[in-house]
Amino acid sequence: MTTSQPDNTPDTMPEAKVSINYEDPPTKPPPLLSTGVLAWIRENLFSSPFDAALTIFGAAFIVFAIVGLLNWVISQGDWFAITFNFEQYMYGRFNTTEVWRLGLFALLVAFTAGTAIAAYFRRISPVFMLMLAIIYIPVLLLPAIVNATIALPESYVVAGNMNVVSGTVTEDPIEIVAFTAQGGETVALHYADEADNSDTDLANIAGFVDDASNALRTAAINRLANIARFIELDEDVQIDAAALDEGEAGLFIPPQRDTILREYESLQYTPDEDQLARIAEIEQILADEADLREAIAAEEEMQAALPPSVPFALEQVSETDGFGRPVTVRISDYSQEGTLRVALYNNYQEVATQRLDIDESGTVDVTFEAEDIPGPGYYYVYATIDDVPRARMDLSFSDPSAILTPLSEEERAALVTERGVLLQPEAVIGIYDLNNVPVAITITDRDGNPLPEGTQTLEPGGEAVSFEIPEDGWYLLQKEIASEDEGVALLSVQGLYPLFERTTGFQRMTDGFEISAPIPRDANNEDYPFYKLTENKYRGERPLGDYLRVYLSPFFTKTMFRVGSSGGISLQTGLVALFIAGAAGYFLARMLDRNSPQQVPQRNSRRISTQLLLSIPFFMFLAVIGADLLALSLLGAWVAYVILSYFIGLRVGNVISGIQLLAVSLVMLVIGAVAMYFAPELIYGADSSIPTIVATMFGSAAGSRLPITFAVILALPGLIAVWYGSAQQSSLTRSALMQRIMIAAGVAIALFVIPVLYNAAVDVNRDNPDAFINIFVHTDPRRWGGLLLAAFITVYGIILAFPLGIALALGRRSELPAIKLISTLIIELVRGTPFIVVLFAGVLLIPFANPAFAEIPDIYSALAATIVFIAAYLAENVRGGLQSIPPGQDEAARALGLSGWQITMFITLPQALRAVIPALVGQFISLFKDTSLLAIVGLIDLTGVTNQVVVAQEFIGTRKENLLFITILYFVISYIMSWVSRRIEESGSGSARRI
Amino acid sequence: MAVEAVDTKKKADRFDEPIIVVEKINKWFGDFHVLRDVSLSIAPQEVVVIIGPSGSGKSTFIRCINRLEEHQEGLIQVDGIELSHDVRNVAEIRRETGMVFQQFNLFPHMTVQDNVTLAPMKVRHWSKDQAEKKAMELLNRVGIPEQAKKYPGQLSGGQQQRVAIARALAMEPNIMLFDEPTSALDPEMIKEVLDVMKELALSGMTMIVVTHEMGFAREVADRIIFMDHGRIVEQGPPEHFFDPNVEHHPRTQEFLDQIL
Ligand SMILES: Nc1ncnc2c1ncn2[C@@H]1O[C@H](COP(=O)(O)OP(=O)(O)OP(=O)(O)O)[C@@H](O)[C@H]1O
Ligand SMILES: [Mg+2]
Repeated sequence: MTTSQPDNTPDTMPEAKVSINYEDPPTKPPPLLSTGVLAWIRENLFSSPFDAALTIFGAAFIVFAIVGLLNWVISQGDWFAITFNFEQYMYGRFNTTEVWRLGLFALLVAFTAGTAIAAYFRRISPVFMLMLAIIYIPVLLLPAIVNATIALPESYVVAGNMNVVSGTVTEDPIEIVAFTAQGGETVALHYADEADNSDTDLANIAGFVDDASNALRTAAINRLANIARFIELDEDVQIDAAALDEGEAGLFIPPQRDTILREYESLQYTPDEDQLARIAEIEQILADEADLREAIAAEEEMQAALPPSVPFALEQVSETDGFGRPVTVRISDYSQEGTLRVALYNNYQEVATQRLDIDESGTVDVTFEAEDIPGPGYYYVYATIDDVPRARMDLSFSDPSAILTPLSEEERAALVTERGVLLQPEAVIGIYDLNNVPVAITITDRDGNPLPEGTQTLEPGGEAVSFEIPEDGWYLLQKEIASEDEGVALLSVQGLYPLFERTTGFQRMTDGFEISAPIPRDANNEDYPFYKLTENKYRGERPLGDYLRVYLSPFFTKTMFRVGSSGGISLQTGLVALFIAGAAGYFLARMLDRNSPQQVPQRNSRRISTQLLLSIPFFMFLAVIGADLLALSLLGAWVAYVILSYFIGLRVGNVISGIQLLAVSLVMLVIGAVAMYFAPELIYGADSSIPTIVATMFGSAAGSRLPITFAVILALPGLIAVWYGSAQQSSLTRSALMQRIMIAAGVAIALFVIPVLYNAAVDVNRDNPDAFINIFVHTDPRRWGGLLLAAFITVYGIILAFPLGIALALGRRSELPAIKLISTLIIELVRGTPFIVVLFAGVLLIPFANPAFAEIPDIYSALAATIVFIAAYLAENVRGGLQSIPPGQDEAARALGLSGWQITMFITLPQALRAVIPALVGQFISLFKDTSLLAIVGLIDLTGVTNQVVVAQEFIGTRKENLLFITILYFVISYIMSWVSRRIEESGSGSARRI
Repeated sequence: MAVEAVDTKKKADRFDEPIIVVEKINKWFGDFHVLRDVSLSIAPQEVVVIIGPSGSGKSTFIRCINRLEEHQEGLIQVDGIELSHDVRNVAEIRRETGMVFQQFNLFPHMTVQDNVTLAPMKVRHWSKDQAEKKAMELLNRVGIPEQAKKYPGQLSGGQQQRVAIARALAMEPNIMLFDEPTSALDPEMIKEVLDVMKELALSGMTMIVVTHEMGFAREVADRIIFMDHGRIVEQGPPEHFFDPNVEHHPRTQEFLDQIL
């Protein structure tokens, strides 16, 4: 119901249009095309012709790029280099006996990630679950499925009593080859089918090939390629030569001609007589063909020149069947004067011509002799006057089916190819008479004792032979030609797979099966050649099945992370363990949250995940650097000492004067310094010395005691803690405080004294890795590498750069000109220098500062340089954050009576840091990526590993694969980090809450 | 003029020493002379409302009292302490005076409770328990105890301003300074803030309030000061300003005509 007063009466009441709408229309769903997937596609992909074009172009580009890349990945890439260097990529050459520490640390990180997910996400989103499934399901299921359904590809070996030649390479087929096999496996051999038919099949072999098989394969490939190229050149060369004969410019540019002709010559081969005869025949056919084409062209020209109406009559006057007899044609009713020419043609060839002069009118008979018309053919007559064609007539006995037609394009090409082939070497399968000789095959154990099957002979056209392997170990495969004739056989073998030599033994490429026994030796005590990876690579276009079976499946299932000298876990196991650790963290945090207060449902989980997160650098220290238990105990004692000093400061702060306080703090300093001074000697004994670096840095000789300056510096935090404590107000009662003082003192003394007593009781050997105290034995930094190194530099770079960056930011805002100048100088200097230069400065210049620094491992110099570099950028970020804080904050804090430092610490800095969190994460990610530059200063980070891998003999030529792998690794890790940071930001816990 | 009449009306007992003494202070921003020979003395428990056109120096003046701005000439004494270059005096005066700003200036990264407890703990060295107890008491007083665990961004403007008042009160100041506490608020929120301020005035707090809320001034103020061009042009009890029959300084009259 609409009440509208008045209705459309502008004339009567122009200015007062009052309308009240009481009608409440029902809601209805939006039109179909405005919601859902279709709408999304329409709006986002095809909203304008330009957008549509871009969409299509972009999609085409993506498909093109991905298809190309995938194709290469599956059929070409040699991923074996990644599988067998994965360990290096993860942690360089970290002591294998200590790898378990890294494993535990990785589990801790996963566990922490699990708690963080529980703490910062309401619910796990379906997208996240989907991502997990996409990652984990293939990892778990694919290897099993692939191994069950796809057979390993066959290996090709050559048996023969003659050399196989391919280009400049000459291969002598190996008679006895050593290989490893597992008990219960079958080794089966048969003639390779590819060698039976043609070189094309031989060239398409895909599988592991030994050197001789590869020579056969490449010989076939080269021959086919040469033929193709020769044929291509042959045509052009002929055309060019013909043109040059006629004095024309020719097909080739003069400077090129020589090169092309030289290539042409080099591709040519001297044929034998039969071949020469056939070549001559083909050349004749081709020449006739060329003539025919010319004649046809001439005939067509003449036909075209005929007038539309014939100026005279042309008729045949003799019998219809004219073969072997003369034939007469009559020309009558002509009305022109001139020279009449009558020509008889047979199949475009002029066979006879008669000329006579004619006057203005009359009739003329022209007779062609019998010998001009010998047999069936396609005959016709042309009449010309003064050489201008006037009439044409097919003779009655002409047989149209006899018309010659030129060769079709294909027929011609076939002839050209045949000629090219004839000018080329013989087929490879022919040269070696492949697979036409019997082969005697024996498999023996490493000592030369044949397996029960004995020697079996493979006959052409006969059955395959097979052997059962009784137990794990080395075996020898013997293959001899069992006849007097020369010959070569290409065998395809099941159960023989390339081996790779590692320090621990010989690993089988296809599954990582490892034998640590040495290679068997022959009578001369020399190693038998073994089925080595480098000499038996996978060659040829690889089908998807082989890719999955040979490369992908072992990548997940082979033992990747070796622990100590034996055993280890596969990537699959590792990923599953990480998942379980993550899930455990997640569910533990969720369980803890049951007890969180209602208003802050995630309080407990956030607390624990934050604590875990903060503890990660410490555990990273333990896992990566390591320190023996005595040193750790000492570290604990030091921490307890600092805490003790703080409590003492709290206790005495209000009750004593400044002088007395100074005395107390000095006492603490002396106690600390004395303890530090003697600690190394007490704990490790007088005969072990502290690191020279520490000694020389502080100007004392290396000895068993700490340099006194160093001891005082280590004790200084105690003094500061007393002062700091004295300035604090505490709600603790006096007795509670005393209790704490006693506990801290007890812990400090206990942690200090226990190792001393232990050392007195047990003869400590710091070099013995099995000693209990060495549970976190110190590792050699030069052995850290790969992802571990990148993570180490990234984590410690950021953590240590943080205080420095904040200090620089505050320094730059300081009102003290000296501090401001120094801070500004450092920031601008570093920001004006590329990271790589800062790195070089760190690694090369730090040793200059003090000779003692020369002993610092490069990784620490690089870390120092990284810290300064990151700090400068961080400082600018933080400064920006500080500037973005409204001045009202500072005013309000000042009005409340907070001091300048308090305002910075409690008000401005926390807000500034929150505001710069996105920038920090960006910096974190970019630092992680920038660690790739560490390779340039000689550290083996991911790129460093790549550089080392691709020069190793086994992996030459795999640079592309390695670079692609680290690209993926960098991308995945950076992407995860940025995704996590985005989610944390969205959850609101990281962002500043603005009024 | 009619000052004595006001004194008899309210709080007749405050004839002791003035708590704030300002003598002939001058201040410049660069060459711009913002405060010119301003003198004022305020008795304990007195409520002074300062009005005046924009740019007349009202904010600058009260900010001088707790040294958010530094004056260049003259003398300011608060609670017997002279404001000088001595940092300790500044800190002490700030402990005695609370200030409430037009833009609230709450600390956005802390909960309401932490906003209130921060200064007592860090400046007065109270224990956490003591500070929290005080904070809850004050949040009760300003009427928002249930918001203690929220962040400022989650509160309405009026609630935020009440938190700001509680925060200033947590330091147990003797003097409260208000710089246009309601002018950033929507009309429906002004009243809740003014009610808190009225309650505070009745409890005997010494207050200096810059505001254009004339209703509040009429009801609560002991004295109204009209400033223009950096000087005190006219002062007197509210009746003086609201009596249409009184003759004012022409500038005062012009200003009053505009806002009444
Ligand atoms: N930091 C400063 N630097 C320079 N000039 C300033 C500064 N602060 C204020 N002023 C100027 O001093 C004058 C007085 O400012 P003040 O803020 O005290 O005025 P007000 O009376 O509070 O005005 P309003 O009612 O608009 O708040 C204004 O002209 C202003 O532009
Ligand atoms: Mg103002």
